[in-house]
Amino acid sequence: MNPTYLIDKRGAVPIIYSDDRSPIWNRGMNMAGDFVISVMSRDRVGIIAGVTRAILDLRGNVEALSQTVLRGYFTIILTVSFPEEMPAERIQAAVEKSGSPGELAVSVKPRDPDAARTAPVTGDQFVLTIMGKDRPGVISRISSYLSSRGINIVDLYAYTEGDNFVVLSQVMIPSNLDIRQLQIDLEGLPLGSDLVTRLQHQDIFVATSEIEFRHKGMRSR
Amino acid sequence: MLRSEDIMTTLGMFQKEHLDVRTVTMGLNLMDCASPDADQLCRKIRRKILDRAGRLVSICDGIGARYGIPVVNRRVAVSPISAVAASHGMGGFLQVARTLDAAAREIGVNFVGGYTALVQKGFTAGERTLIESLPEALSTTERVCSSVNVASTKAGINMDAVLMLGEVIVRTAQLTAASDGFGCAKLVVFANMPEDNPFMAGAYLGYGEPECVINIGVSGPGVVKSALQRLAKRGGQIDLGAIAEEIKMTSFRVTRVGELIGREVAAALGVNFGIVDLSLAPTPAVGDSVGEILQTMGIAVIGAPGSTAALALLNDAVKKGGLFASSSVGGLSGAFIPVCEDRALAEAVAQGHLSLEKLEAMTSVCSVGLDMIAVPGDTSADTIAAIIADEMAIGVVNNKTTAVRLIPVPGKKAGEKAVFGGLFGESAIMPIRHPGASSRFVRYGGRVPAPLHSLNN
Repeated sequence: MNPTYLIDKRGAVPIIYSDDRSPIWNRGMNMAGDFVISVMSRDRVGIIAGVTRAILDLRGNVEALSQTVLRGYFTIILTVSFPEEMPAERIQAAVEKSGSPGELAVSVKPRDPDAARTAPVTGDQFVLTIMGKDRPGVISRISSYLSSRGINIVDLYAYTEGDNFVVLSQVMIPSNLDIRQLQIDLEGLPLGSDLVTRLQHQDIFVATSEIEFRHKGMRSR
Repeated sequence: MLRSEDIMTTLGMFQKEHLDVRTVTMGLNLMDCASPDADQLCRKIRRKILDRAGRLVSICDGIGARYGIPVVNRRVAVSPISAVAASHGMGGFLQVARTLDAAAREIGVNFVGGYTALVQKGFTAGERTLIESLPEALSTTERVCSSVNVASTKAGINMDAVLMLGEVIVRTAQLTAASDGFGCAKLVVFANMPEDNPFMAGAYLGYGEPECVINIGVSGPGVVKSALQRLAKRGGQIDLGAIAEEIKMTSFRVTRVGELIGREVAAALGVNFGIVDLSLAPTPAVGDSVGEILQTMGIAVIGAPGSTAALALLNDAVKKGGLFASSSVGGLSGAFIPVCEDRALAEAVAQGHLSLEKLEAMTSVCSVGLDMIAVPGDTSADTIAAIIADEMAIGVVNNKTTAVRLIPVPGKKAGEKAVFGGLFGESAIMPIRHPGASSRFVRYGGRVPAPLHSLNN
């Protein structure tokens, strides 16, 4: 199966997908009974049906969700609003019960409505790719370096294809950083000589992949 | 919305398939440099090139790094020097050529085009002088490129100019004999020459162009070849329509790379963005060859029957993909078949599969024309003029751009090898059948009248 890697070029607003892959947007219902729920389990048919039924039975409304399957393991994160006060433990118990005993790892937290509006870093979005022989510590070293430079990872996806390890990441680079120096630093990280690291502005991927062409130098649009 | 497949496809184009921005070419008007004093003229030319293009190289490097795309060549194309230096004699023209060469070196661009004359209907005094100055100008400068438009669909073919250029090419080859006649690689003879072409040696700033403009040439034979190989691997029923579709989609991506980089460079320099020219411009590198695309399309021997049809499909699909990707497509935009610069084509010549006549037929359906073809050193000016006349006729009658860049290799015969190095490559010297047999025709002089464009058949 081809992996799907989602990047939102608008930056601060995370794109959220329903399980049928059509976008759902945060509708801004910041009620007292708002929760964020995550579920992880081995994949099978019917997990989403069970989880959302349990939420509905508690009169909860799913506002947004993102779901993915990675090497046979299912994970979903949902934001849900309830019309009245609702103990987190009750939600967790209800969702866990939608699976067989011990099947679903469920976590429930009250949702901070400001979280969706907070962009940790402003700047330009770049695509960071790493490709080469798999070895332990690649993502740890890269993410440590990015963190040390104040670079936020907006999206990250990694997979193994034969002996080849591929990391695709969208990062927000603060505008005061020198891209060429970052590229030199990234190439110099001790990741292994056969790993190729590239940092490219996201617009090049947008230009080659989307029908519409946008540029600040164009008069129309 | 980007998907991992899109990212991987784009990355693959850069990393494995030789996609690059072949040239960022700044078009620059030099008409306002005209002066009755040659020294003053040259000072103004140098000053203007430094002022407007001085940051071209560093800006291209910065933008190339930002997007992770190599910008291989940075170039400047100026107004036709035949007009800029019209009031000066031979000495003045050569002084301008040396000034352009020095300015190009100073700002770090590898070529400056525009040592140019447009004489399809006749010569001005300045144009005649420029053409006469070409052997010395091309043999004593390193970076100056020249082009002469000798024909157009509206004017016909100026056969006096064609014969003159036959003589210029022979003389230029003799003056650069130590480098296998390389001076001739910097001279292109055109029919229907485009005013916004960013590719050398034919780039110049046309009379209808703005004061200063950025034109982009992107290339990508390797990308197209890889896309066709992937299409074949996917299996299933593939017909030529599917091949054309694949080429179109690939051309779309490649053109977009050019437009993005072009607009970024233009914005950074504060000048107009002109056009993106998507041309499949091969290099001698393996996998970066138009010939290899033809082989991937099923023409096992380049030059065999079917080669022209395959090239026609390729050229058309490239244009269609490019035109959908950008409203600013211009220049030549198609497939180039420069023999020395394309390893597979050069090999086909060496094996005797690809003849001058077949190449000529192929140029009627693709970009440019008889390009970078090494011919025997004893080829006469008359014969070269006759080859030019044939190629111009194809352009004039078919209302398209055609061009000739022939290199007589002094002291070498057909079958021997000419080596130019770098992007210019190498090739076996191509035999010419019946040399000298057209002398009487080309020596009539005068003009081949403009063709009729009705009763087409």
